[in-house]
Amino acid sequence: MANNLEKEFVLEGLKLRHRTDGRGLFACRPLEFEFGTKDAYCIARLGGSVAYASVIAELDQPMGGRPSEGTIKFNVDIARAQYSTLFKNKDPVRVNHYMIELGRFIERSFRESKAIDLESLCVQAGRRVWHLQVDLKILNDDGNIPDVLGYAALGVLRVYRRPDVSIDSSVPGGLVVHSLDDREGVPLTLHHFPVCLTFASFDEGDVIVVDPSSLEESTCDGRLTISVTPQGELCAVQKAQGYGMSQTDVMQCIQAGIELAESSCRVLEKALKSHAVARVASRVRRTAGQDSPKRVGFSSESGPAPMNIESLDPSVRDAMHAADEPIEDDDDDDDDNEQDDAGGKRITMDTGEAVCPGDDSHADGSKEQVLDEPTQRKYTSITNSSGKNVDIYKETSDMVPEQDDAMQLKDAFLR
Amino acid sequence: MKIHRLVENAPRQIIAESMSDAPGNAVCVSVGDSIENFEENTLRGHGTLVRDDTLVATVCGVVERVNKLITVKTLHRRYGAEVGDVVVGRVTEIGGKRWRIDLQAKQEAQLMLSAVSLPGGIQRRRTAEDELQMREIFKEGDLVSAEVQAVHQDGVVLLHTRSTRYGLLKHGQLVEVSACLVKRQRQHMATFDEYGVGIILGCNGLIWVGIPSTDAVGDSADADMDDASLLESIARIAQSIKVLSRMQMMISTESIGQTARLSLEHGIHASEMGRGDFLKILWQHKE
Repeated sequence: MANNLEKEFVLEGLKLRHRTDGRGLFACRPLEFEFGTKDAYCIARLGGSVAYASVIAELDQPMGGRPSEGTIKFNVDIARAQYSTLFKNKDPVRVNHYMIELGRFIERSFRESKAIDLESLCVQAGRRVWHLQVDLKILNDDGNIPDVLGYAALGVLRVYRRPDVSIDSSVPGGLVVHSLDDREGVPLTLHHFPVCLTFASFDEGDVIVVDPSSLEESTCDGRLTISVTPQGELCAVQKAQGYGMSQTDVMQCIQAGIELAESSCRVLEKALKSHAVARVASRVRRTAGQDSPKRVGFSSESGPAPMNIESLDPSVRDAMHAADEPIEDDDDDDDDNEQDDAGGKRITMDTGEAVCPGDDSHADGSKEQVLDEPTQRKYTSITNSSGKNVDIYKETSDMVPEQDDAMQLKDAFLR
Repeated sequence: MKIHRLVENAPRQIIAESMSDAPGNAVCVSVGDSIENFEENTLRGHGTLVRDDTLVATVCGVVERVNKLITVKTLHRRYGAEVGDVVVGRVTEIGGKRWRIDLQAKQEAQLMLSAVSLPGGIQRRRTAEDELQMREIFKEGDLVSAEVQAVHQDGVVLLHTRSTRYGLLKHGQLVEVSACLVKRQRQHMATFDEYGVGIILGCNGLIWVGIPSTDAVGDSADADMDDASLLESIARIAQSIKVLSRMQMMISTESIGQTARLSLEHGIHASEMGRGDFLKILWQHKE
């Protein structure tokens, strides 16, 4: 914590429009994103502050009153190691309130501004919708926690892909949830990208800076956090405590915020692009095995299944879906899988992200929900487990142009 | 090129160099390396393990032998005070005729009332009134620079500020780095004349960058605060230290000066020194 002399130094500098790290008043610290290869998490870094975000999706009945909408919940937590340094002398109840306040602000900027299309999370109106939970964790506090949490939340919502679900009337329950290994996940529909920005005011509102460092945070009189989109829309405002700000100052902050949001989104786009490349590369390695890059391809004599090319070419993806349909309706295949599963009601999902009610084998192990109607969920396996499935890839191997693209990309990754 | 990759490629020489007490014949070991056969009378110290009659290292570091005691000293560890070290610390507690100072070491250090120079510079016995006025000298949260006077057997560190060079730190900012990166030098207090910035390289990793303190008693530095270019230079020096820390390079007056000069040569603003392009320039220049 800064003592009065350090605060004085910061203040004297700010009176001359100088910040301790040499930044301009409306300059943010460098922003970095890191994504999990399975699209499960995002880590955002803003200078020394680090936040982590992950999404869990659950398919369940819709909330009363909104039968055709999914839900999303934001939960903010703090890493154990940080807790002792940040909140050493503070009452745990107050710490909890602070976490809830942060979580509520993120919720307002994403959910209440309709950034996420909740209707796209509906699978069957009145019966099954996706419930998303975004868990945010503060890993390191070097000033400006709300912003870095906002970036982590935005990053994870942009990168997250939920399991694909298809309607299949032949299956009791009528729904087939595809594992993320079998079918490419479906990204969330975001209407706009809210960016959270915090402004700190000093010297009775005379000086305002963006993205305060921890030293500046301890010196400032008041703070304002806003959530804006690069398109110029204001999603949320938080002015909870501290010295007041004049109307003109608030408008100035919002205007500056819109420009800063633009550059932040550009950084995010760049990070997402390189992540997309890395994601495909990891799938190539995963399906081909570690030692045999040569075996990746579309030749039918290759044992392992080739990489999923849906992410590469939209037209191919459509073709793949068209090719998929006849296989799903094939009851012979489904019966085989059914007999393999113990009791016929259990599905083991390879990825821990999706949870189907009634699935006891999920990571958290605590779910023992019994559905009101008997449903049997199974996923069609489009891997090489049975000879029949490989035929799918035999069909697609006839599409030569995509093969070239895939091979080129594969060569680019496997140095 | 990712920065951590640059750091990973740092040769063992650099690691050995930074271990000031093991210069030329440093034996670097990694986790699992066998040090020697474990004999009956050898004492096994920290960072070692006996496995199949061989002493094996459990950490990466330098082997240290003191008589029959064999330890492996790691690179990044808490600061261990030695007599004569110049340190920068924060006052945490006042009482019992002493200040307790946090040096980010294994224990808090102690600054006795008898070990500070009283205002006015006169030498006299400390009275009960002096004890009640302790807060006037240093209060909780203040940053002070001091020298290690003594280190007791149980690890208690005693500091002193019995020189006008040491004392309360103001008109500047603190940079925290890993203690192992601060090179032990003859002079830990330096001034960069070309910028007009003074630094105090605390051996415990806390480095103070600010307006250089004058030896004269009194606050003559107050008038200089209005200079924006001076503040910019302070920021540049502070960023140089942060950049050196990030690149895991030794921090000395020389290296800080070189980094700052390099950033000026390439026209890089203080706030941009943390970016990849300058780090690349710095790494190339090092070689």
